[in-house]
Amino acid sequence: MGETLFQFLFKYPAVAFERGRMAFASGWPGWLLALLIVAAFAGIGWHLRRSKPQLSKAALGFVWMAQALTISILIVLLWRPALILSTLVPQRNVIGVLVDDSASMALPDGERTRIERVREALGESSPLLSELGENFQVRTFSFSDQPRRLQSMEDLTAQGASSRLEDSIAGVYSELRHLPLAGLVVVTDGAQNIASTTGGDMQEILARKIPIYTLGIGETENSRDIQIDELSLPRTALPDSMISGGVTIRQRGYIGRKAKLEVREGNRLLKSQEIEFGPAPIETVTLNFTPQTIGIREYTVSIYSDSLEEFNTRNNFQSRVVEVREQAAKILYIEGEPRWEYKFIRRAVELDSSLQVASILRTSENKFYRQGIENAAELAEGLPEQKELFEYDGLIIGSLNAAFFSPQQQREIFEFVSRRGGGLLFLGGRYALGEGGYQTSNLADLIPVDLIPAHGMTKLNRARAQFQPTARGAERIQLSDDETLNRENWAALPALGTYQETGEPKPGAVVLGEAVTEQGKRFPILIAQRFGRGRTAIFATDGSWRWRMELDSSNHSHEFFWRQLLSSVVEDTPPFTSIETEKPLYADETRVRFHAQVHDENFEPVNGANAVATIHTPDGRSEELTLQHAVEEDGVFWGEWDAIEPGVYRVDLKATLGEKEIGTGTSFFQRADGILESFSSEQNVALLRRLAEETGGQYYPLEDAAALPEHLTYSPAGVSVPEVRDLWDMPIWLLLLLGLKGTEWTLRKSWKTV
Amino acid sequence: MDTDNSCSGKFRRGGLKTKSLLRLTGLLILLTGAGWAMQRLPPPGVLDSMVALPAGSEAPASEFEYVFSRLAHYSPGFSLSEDGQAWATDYPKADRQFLQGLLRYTAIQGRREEQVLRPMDSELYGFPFLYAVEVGYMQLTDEEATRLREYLLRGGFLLVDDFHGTQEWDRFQRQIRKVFPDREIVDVDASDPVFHCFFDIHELFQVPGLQYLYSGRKYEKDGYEARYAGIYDDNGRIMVMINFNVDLGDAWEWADLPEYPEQYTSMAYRLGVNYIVYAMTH
Repeated sequence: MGETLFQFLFKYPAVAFERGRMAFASGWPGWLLALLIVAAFAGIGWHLRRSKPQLSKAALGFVWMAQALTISILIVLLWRPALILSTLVPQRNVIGVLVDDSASMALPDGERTRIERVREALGESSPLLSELGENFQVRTFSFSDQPRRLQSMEDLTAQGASSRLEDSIAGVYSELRHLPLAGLVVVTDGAQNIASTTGGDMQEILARKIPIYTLGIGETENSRDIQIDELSLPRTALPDSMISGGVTIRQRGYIGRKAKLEVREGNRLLKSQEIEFGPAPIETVTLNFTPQTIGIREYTVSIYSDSLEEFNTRNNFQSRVVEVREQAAKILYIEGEPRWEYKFIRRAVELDSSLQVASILRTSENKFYRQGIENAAELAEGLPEQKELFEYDGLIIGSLNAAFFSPQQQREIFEFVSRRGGGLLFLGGRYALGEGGYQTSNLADLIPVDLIPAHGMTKLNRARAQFQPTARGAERIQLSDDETLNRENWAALPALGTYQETGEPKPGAVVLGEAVTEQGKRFPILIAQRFGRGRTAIFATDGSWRWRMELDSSNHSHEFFWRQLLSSVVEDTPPFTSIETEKPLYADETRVRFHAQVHDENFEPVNGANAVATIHTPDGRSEELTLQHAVEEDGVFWGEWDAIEPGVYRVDLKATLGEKEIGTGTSFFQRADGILESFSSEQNVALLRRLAEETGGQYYPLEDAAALPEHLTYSPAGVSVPEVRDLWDMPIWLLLLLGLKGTEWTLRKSWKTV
Repeated sequence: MDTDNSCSGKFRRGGLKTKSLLRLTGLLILLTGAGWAMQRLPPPGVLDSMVALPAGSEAPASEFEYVFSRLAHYSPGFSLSEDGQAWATDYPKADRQFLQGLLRYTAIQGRREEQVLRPMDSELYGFPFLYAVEVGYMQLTDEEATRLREYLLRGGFLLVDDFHGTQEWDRFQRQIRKVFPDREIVDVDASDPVFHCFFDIHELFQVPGLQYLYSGRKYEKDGYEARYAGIYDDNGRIMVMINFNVDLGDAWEWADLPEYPEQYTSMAYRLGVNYIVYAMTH
């Protein structure tokens, strides 16, 4: 509407004014024009002053301006204003028309499908293509994962498994780059689901100022739809150990309605929970469940609501493959005195096969008691030296003075976290934290909180304090698989038996839980932070054993808490040698990039290693791929490989240095087809606008595509000739003159001066 | 760490026959006095002057990590005291004398004073270690048995001591079956961690009570053989440690009596320390 009005008033479309420049075609000097206008204002002013009409000053001023402007416009028109622009030479230029042929184009758009609407708009009988054909040589392409020449719109099938919009544009440009390319027209829903990998060609399109005109199709917002945007699960898990994942759900039209979220292992239902949608269009739900069997297992998360019929139900589920395997994280627990907390922490994790806690307890001044050790030599010499220490994934320091550790040991603990990437948990206690002198030790930086509270007291208080998880804490630590029971268990948790006051969390630290004393005072008690490659946390109490003793024996809140706290401390500890793919699922894409890390027993990177990945395909074949050293990062190797067939692939890494084997690692990934096009299938207007605006083109909804042929004629690219277009006959001049004189006459009539 | 609890008295076991009549008479007088004292058990709060702590010298139990808790059970058939309070046998001297050793040997932050808990006390769950004596006379109500079972399943530890002979064993077994009807009492092997978590105890033997000094018998009633038994939980941890035909309480109580043989005192302390360290680590 605005565009049409503009063109009516100014004779040409706005794009013509944007691309062209204004000039006076009469050839008369500009200074003379300015002089005449000034003279017109002065002369009319002098005349009005001399005739002394019976008008107020404001009315007189208006009459002066109206008459002077009228004369000025007429003078300007005498100078013959014109627009000088470059227009494309008919039939000398090429335009590329790309039509989206991906599966999302088969979705309904009103009463017809998107692809049917495209056929109608761009078919042989449509005016749009014939108008384009009058001025340009038109090359048509279809695209999904890559562009293909398109003979007829009837050849469109809407079956492409993915949308590589930017790569397809680059591909067409690459084919047409040697022709006088005036622009590219892209007809699509914009639902790109594979990011661009060809930045260079897009840069060249920008540099050559080749405009991209985007014609958007499809609803910009699905009226009623629930979609699982993202499913985040760990790649490996332990049997009978709770998996904590996250599912991001997008909904439209379901505010206040309920839906059922289900988790299946294969076909077996593991968990079902009801969720109620709030006003936010996107929300993330924490998902906890326990694997039932060992092996590579596919977990499917689905969501359905019976309350309304959905636009698209193919985006209501997502699957991930998780390897459930027997593998325990090794944790070393050093405790300075016999205490109940020690006993109950050990008991809490004893039956968790994912955590193996070896402990060394100072029972008297020079006597130590070891538990959970694998052999007689383990921890026989007390705190192990670096090489043995680095074999652990996590470390717990209990009620021990910092001075218990020699400077060398303190350095090694520091390295354990910062370089080896281990997790470290400090517990409260009468010799721990502030009372243990950690704030002035080499380990001070590892503590995620200021140990000196405002009033300077750091004593372990043997008094009750309620533990309250923060939002982050409640997200990370769940006291039951079941959401309702989880809430009830948090509410029923007895008070801690002791607490140690802390100060402010350090920058970057996350408070997971607070202590609320009987006096109502509140301060952080469970705080975590990332440090170097690793993580550290403190739990400033030694009284959580009260949870175990004061809750019914069938209530396992204490065990759940400690298993998850310790798991979170060690879960990201890297293995010495590992291989991973960039993502666990390659949906509708085949190029897989491997990333391996190789370290020796002291966790020093081994750049000279020979890292070979053996890829086991779903049909039982094996292929070897020698990985290259990534020169920008020590100990890192990478490689790329095409996984053509769908299924689960296993990758074994073997790293050697000469004849010596340094380490091995295993990973897996999944390839699947026909998934991406079901997700985020609404028209991506933002992407289409960005593409158009970046290149100097324009975005149109498909129904407004009629303006496209004329706009294309002003393209800055292609073979063009300069053209002078008169502006003196624009309707806007006439309207201005009529407006000025008409208003003056009407007012003077009301003032009774005519 | 090894014990340094050597006997400093003049008498040695087996030496009594060679001592003078005068000394024997003196000992008998002493033992008679002790027996009289045991029959007139002091009510809680009245302390043996030998281990009495100045009033208010010890902080409240809540200020300590470990508090030696004695289980006050109902024992109607117990005839030694007027009111049938079998639980108070050797109380409180045995407890305090043992605590002196415990605190000296270990790094445990413990209270020098014991405390008494009844099965239905609301504070029971705050003290995961219980010591009970004369359990051959113990009689638990169903409610108490249920509470004790819950206490043990949550992680509490019960040490029973000082009961002797077939009859007391049978009575104890009936009571503990109320607590755990489906769990067996099994012998605890000398290789069990409970005998190695602090002191390495490779050989288990009978620790007699004070009566050994005047009777010359290590056993009481027909309890000829010491039995170290236990009730385990599902994960192989001892919940109830049973010292049958053994009297650790007397060995602690009379540790300062020169006539009481050092080897028994030492064994009693070693066992007691190990039981508590075990209770705090398993």
